[in-house]
Amino acid sequence: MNTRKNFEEVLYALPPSVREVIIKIPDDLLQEVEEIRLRVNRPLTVYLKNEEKFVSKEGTISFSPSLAYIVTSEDCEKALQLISKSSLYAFEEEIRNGYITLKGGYRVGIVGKCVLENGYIKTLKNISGYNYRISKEIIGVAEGILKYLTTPSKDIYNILIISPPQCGKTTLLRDITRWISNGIDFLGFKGKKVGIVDERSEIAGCYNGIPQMDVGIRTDVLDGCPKAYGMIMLIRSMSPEVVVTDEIGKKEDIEAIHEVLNTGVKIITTVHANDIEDLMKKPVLKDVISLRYFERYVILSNRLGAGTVEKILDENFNTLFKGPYRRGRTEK
Amino acid sequence: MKLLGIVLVIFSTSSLGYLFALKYKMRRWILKSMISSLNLFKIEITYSKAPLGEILMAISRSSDKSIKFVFSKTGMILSQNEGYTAGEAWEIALNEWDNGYLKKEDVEILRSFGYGLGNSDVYNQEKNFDLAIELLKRQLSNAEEESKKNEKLYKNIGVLAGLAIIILFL
Repeated sequence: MNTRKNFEEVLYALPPSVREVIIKIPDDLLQEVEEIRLRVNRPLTVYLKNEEKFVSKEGTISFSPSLAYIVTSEDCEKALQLISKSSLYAFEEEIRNGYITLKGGYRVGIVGKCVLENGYIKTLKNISGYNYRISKEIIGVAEGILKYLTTPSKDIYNILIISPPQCGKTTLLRDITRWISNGIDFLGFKGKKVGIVDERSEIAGCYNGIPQMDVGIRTDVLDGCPKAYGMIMLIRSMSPEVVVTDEIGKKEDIEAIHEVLNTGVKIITTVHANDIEDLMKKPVLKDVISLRYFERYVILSNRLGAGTVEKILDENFNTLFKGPYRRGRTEK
Repeated sequence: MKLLGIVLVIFSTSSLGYLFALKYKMRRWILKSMISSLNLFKIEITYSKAPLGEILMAISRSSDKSIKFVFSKTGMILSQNEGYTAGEAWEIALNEWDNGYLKKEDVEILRSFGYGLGNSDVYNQEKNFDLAIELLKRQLSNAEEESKKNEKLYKNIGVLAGLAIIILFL
């Protein structure tokens, strides 16, 4: 049995023939699977331990595509209906964005043919590829670095998590959120009101508006809302002390952050980049750095596996902590 | 004694006539119920956009008992997450449904409605519903015409046949 919460929701969303193959994968390997990919007329692949591998009809995992189960076009057609629980009409917006959130907070990315109307994406049809992302909720990943993120006066800094894709930034963000919301006993830090703007339903993994992930007891989630509007909306409506959002990058986002900081609310967010230098090269984001919006920078990599903390910098880019550190594993 | 025989003969032949007539009445009734349930179904999909399984259960609760089965069975199959799509589940439910009163064309309309169930956006779902409802309405007016002609006929034939037998044997 897979220990991941509601993992069966992923299985339910797989077409029956693929489901049969996946459940034959030995449990210890299945636990490690981070992605299941269906591509029409191509081998069924899974992504685990930083490698993409093929799955045979018998459920064995190998590097050889020749024995692999080949995904049929019927599988792909069926998958869409199963993912949406035969309620495609309820997911128009999600399909337009290219992903659907399942119960349990798992997300399925889709690609196919875009149908345009007046230059805007109306919908996707002939869906030819699926990526079932089996998100991990690792409670406690942030524990070791919390002392760098809180001020001596028991407040939280404005934090920017810098990370390349698939290095666990959302997992870390979620865990930090949970700690701040619940309070950190060992630091004498009292829980704060947190507002999450979850534009792509990734942080809280909302299904029908209900967070499927544990995001803390004092946390409000604004699901599916564009970040720039959402941050302002939350401040007006829920008076949070900390605003959390994911993957900033647009000009509006930066303006919204500026407004949030003006109101004295703290912000925790993430950005796609390898490190500070990389970030400085990006036209919109370099302002964020040069204007010193943030007081702590957490830089991630996957050196020791996803979620490795490389460095933590303070507002003047001095190194406070040097990794690599991954919970349970440290390397000198 | 003779009187009792007369009554018995007339009673049995006329109830036979009523039984034949009932078939028309039931078909009309089922078509009517189906049309109103599909209307409700359509509103749920276009307005509340709730998951199909939930809608089906709600519809089955408010449907007439003659058609309840189709909705509840489809909803049940979907809730078991065995990998059936709504279209497939609907098909299974239709096949298991005891619908002796409906004509083959009526069932075919429902069957082809099922192929489009739940697999497109709101706009196209609406069209699928509208088509099915329109076609069922046509079947209904056919059924009404037929029953106008035949219902009375069968009832009368029943009574008259009874009388004829009595006259012959008297």
